[in-house]
Amino acid sequence: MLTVHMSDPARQTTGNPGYEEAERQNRFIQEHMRRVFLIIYRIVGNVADAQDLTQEAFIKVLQRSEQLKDPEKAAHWLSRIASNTAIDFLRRHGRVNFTEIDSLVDPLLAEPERNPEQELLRRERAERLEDGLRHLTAKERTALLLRDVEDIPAEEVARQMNCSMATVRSHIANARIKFRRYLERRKA
Amino acid sequence: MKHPSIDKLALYAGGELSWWTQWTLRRHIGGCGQCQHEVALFQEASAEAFEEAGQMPAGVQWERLAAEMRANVRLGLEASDAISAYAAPLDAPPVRGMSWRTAAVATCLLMLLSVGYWLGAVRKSEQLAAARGPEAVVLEASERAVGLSDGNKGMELQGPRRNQGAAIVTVSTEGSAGAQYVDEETGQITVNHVYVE
Repeated sequence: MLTVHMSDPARQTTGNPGYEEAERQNRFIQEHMRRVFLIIYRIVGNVADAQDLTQEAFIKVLQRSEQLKDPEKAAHWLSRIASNTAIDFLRRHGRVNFTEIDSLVDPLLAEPERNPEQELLRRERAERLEDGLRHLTAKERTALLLRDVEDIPAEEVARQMNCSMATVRSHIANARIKFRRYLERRKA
Repeated sequence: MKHPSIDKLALYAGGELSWWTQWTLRRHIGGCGQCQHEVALFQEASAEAFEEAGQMPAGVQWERLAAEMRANVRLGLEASDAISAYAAPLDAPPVRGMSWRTAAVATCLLMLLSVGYWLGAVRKSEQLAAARGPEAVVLEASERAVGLSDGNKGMELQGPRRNQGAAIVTVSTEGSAGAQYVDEETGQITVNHVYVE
């Protein structure tokens, strides 16, 4: 994982010709980074991969900065790039490499949490979601996340996934059935 | 009673079916407790996914991770710009279109030069014509006639026939000519006088 710390472009003076564009890019990143990271993370199931793919998706979108003139279109385009980047990654790597929840917790770095009971409950729910999504195929998972979590209309999900409405309906239905059955088994 | 398939109920729960299918299922589900329960379970599962999926994974310190990703995105963009600049030919001069102001000024200058040249040519032609002056009147005499000509127009005064005597020809500087002769057989005197106008 590449980590480079650079000077903050916001500190540049307004005399810089690229200042406004850099500002617009920074605002765009700020507004959408959490959402995009979570979409990709839920699809690939791994923090390190999600980080790399999130960066890749933003670079792809921001290289065509003229797209940022219409923020709504840019956000849709970013979602499409993000989900496609994650699906392509899974296609290349063949399978999902889910991060074990316990392996992520670093007691020195973790945010100060709520009381232990709340934290336990939260981790249990997170684990349930992670495990439930693991039972779906990449396309089922993507369709479910875009439709039920991102609340994107099914027609738009079909466009983002480059497939027909019938196929997307099939992915969504399968994903809901599998996820629901998983939750039922878990509760039982 | 025939119940809808589980796939249709899953899609009904999220409203993805066509208008007609959705309406048909609504009629069935309105009166079927079992299907209502199925739909409610689908909706609960989706709500749980929605609620939990918006949470950051446990152990991830988002602010730090976001700062790192922002820096890496900026680095990626800078690298992309640098590669684009390197890939572009360095010695090719930038092709820049003429601005509309420059084009307008150039057109005006061209028109002024054309009009000036045309006026100069006309004036020169008039000066040459003035220098040449009017065509001179030329007097020409031959054995049988005498004539006046200005280049464009002319006249001729015929002399006497063979049996007539010699003629006296007079030419005036005011543009007239005359001839007098006597017929030897009849003794008749003939006077001709012509003027140039």
